Amino acid sequence: MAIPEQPKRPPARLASRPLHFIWICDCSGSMTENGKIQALNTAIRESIPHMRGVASDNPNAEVLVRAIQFSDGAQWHLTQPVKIDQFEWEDLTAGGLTEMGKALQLVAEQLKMPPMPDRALPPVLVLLSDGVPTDDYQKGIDALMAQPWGQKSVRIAIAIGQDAEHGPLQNFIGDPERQPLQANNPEALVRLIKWASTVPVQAASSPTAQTGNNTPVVPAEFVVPDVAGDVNADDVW
Amino acid sequence: MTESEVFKSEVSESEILNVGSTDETTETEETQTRSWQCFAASVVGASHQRKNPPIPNQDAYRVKPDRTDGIAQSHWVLMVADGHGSHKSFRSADGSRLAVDTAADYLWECFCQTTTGPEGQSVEALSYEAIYDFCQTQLPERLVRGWTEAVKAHLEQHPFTEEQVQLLPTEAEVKGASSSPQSKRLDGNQLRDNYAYGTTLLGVVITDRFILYLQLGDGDIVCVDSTGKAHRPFPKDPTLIANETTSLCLANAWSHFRVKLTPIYGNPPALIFVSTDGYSNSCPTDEDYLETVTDHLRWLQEQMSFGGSQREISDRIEQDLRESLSDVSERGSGDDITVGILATASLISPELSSFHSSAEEPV
Repeated sequence: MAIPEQPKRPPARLASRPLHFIWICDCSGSMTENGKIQALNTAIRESIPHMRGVASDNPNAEVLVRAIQFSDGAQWHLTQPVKIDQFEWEDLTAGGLTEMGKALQLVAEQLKMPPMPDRALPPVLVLLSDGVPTDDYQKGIDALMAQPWGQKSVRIAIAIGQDAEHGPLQNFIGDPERQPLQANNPEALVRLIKWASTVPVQAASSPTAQTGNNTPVVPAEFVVPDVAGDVNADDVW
Repeated sequence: MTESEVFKSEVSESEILNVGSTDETTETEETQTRSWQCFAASVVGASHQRKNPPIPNQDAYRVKPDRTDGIAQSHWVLMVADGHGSHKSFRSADGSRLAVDTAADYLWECFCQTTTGPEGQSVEALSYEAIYDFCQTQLPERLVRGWTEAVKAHLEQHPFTEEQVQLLPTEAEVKGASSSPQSKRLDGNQLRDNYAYGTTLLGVVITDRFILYLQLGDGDIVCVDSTGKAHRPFPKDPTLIANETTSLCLANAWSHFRVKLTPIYGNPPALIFVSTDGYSNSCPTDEDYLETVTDHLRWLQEQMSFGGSQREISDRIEQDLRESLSDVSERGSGDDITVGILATASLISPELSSFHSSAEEPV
C-alpha cells in the first residue's frame, strides 16, 4: 500500500528586499578641470567589486544601482535599476551648468510609492558635486523630503575640490551631526566613493527595526572615513 | 496619531447597534458550536544566524490556554511581538517576551475568565458596548503599563552594565520623541530604560461573543473567510517603512495602539493569521503575501485529514510551520519570523467540532 504523502507547506513567492542605491553626479563644466570627471568615473568603476562583496554578504538585500547626471538640466545616466552583479559603469562626460535641484527632483519622483514598494530597505543616495548649484536646489531637496522614502533615505554627500559649496550638500544630508565628505585629490575620491558604496549599503541592509520620528535613518555603525591625511601638497582640486 | 485618535472607533456605529439589537437566542445559537484551533511558531532570521556571534531570536509569542493537546477551544489569546534588535534596544528579546507574557495573561484574565474582567467585573456581566468602550479607552494604557512594570522588575533583577548604559538614548531624545502632556509627566529614566527593551505587540483575543484585534507597531493580522477571501482588520500603516516602527518603548505608546472589537455573528473568519513583519517583507508584493496566508487554510485542512491524534496533528503542523518560516526568512527578508494561526475547527476539519463539547471550558 502506498504511503500517503505528507501535505506540502504553502508555497510562497519570496524575494529579498530591494535596496536602491543612486549615484547623483555633477557633470558641470568645472568637472572637466584637472581630471575630476575622469577621477569620478574611475573611482565609481573601482568601487563595483567592493559593492558586490557587500551585497554577497547580505543576500537578503537586493542591491539595485542607478545613476543621475546633472549639468544643463538633469537626466538618468542609468535609467533602470540594475542588480549590482550585472552593474557596469559607463563613463560620464562633463559640460554645462550645475542644476542640482533638477536632479534631486528626478530622484524624488522615483522614491514615490509606487514605484517604491513599502517593503524596501532604506535607499542610499550619494550626491557628488564640485561647485555651486545654478538652479533652485532647495526646491529639489524639498521635493525629496516630501516623500516618505526621501526622509528615510541614507544621504551621503561628497564635495569634490575646495570650490565645492558645502551649504547645499549639508542641506541635502539634513543632519547637522554629519558633514559632507571632502575629496581634494583622486586618491581621496577613490577612498570616499569606496566607503560610500559599501558601509552605508551594509548598514541599510539590516532588517533591524528603529523607533523614530521621521528622522533620517542614520546607521548606528556609521564611521566616516578620515581623509584628513589626504589634504596635502598632492591636492589638485 | 494624536491622543484623541486612539479613541476613534474602528467599528462602525451601525455595527454596534446591530449587536445591541441582536436577539440573544440567535447569538447563542451561532456561537455555541464555534471552536478554534491555534498553532504558532517562531524562527531566528537567516541574516541573524549569519552574524558572528549569531543574534538570538528577538521575536516572541504566547498562546493561552497554554496547553490544549491540539483540542479545539472557544476562547483563545494569541500574542506576537517583534523586538527591535537595534543597538539601543539591546534587550529587545526580553522586551518581546515580557510583552507577550504580560499582555496574554492580562487579556486572558480580562476576557476569558468568568471570575475576573474589566474593572473587576465579570466580562459576562458586561454589555458589548461596555466592553467596546473599555477596549477603546483603557485597554491600551493597561497593556503598556503592564509591560512597563514587567520591564522595571526585570531590570531590578538584571541591572544594566556601564557599557549598556552608554548605549541608551538621552532623556532629551526620549522625551523629545513626543510633545504629548502625558509623556512630559513620565519618568525620563524609565523611558530610557524602556528603549533597551523596545518591541512591537500584536495579537487576537477570541471568545464566544467577540474577536478583539490589537496592534502596536509593524506586523500583519489577516483574516481569511471560508471562501478564501483575505482582509486586514487594520489597514497597512503607510508611515511604517524603512524598518521604522512604533513601539511599546515610546513615551506615548498607548496612543499608537490600534484596537478593533468585532462581535461573533454572521460569518466570522475561517482563519486569523498573525505574523511579524519578517514574513510580509519576504513577499515581493502584498498580493503575494495575502495569497500565501490564504493558502494556509487549504494546508491546514490537508494536515488535519492526514491523520494522527489531535496532539500529533498539532505538533506536526507546528514543526512544518517552523521549517516553512526558516525557508521564508532564508529566501526572503532574512528577519526573525513569528506566525500565529487561529483556525475555525469546523472549517479545517469538520469532525473536530464534536471535540468542543469535551474540551476544557474557560474557568
